[in-house]
Amino acid sequence: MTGPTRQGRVSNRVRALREAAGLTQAELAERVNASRQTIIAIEAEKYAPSLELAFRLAHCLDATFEEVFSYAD
Amino acid sequence: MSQHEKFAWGSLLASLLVWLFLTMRMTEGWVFVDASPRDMIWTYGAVVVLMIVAYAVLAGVLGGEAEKDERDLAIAARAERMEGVVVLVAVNVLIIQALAQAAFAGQVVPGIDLGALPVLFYALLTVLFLGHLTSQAVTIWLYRA
Repeated sequence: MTGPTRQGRVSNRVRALREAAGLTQAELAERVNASRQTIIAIEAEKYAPSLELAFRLAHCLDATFEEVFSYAD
Repeated sequence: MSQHEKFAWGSLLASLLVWLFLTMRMTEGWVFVDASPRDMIWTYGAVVVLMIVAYAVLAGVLGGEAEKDERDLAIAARAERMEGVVVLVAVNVLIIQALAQAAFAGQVVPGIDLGALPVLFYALLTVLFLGHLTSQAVTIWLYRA
């Protein structure tokens, strides 16, 4: 579900991949056309991004969608 | 804290202050004053002007409203939905109060005579403020959740 969500359902490796790419949260936010607060919320898994933003993040982090995001039932 | 959250805090406080101004104009202690229609037009105009000035000051202090990304839009949409629910419930309470007041001798909420123009005026404006305050409070809560 896009939007504010229960923590832990949609997990991601955005922080690890961003740090590996040497990007700050502000730089990543600018590249994917989102705010720094949104990147912070995604990394904290408090917000599940839309498919479009998720794919933009994966593209910017030079990873596949599945490498960045996973869903736990 | 994002600019949108700061704006929500400012809007919440400004709205609360303007509603208190409205309350002070329309009540004396716990009793509604018998305000004339001209007084109420003046009060209504003052409330509108105060809200416009408050938003202009907020926009000036925060340097204009920042562009909203998808999370900001999702939060705004949820806040507006909650505002709609609160206004819907409040308007229905007023309808029930008005109908009960007309149908029965007693009143559903004692002291609230919707047949009196000052009370109706105050109740309707309070419903609008209640909706707006809810929207801003939900916005702040969702940014912090």
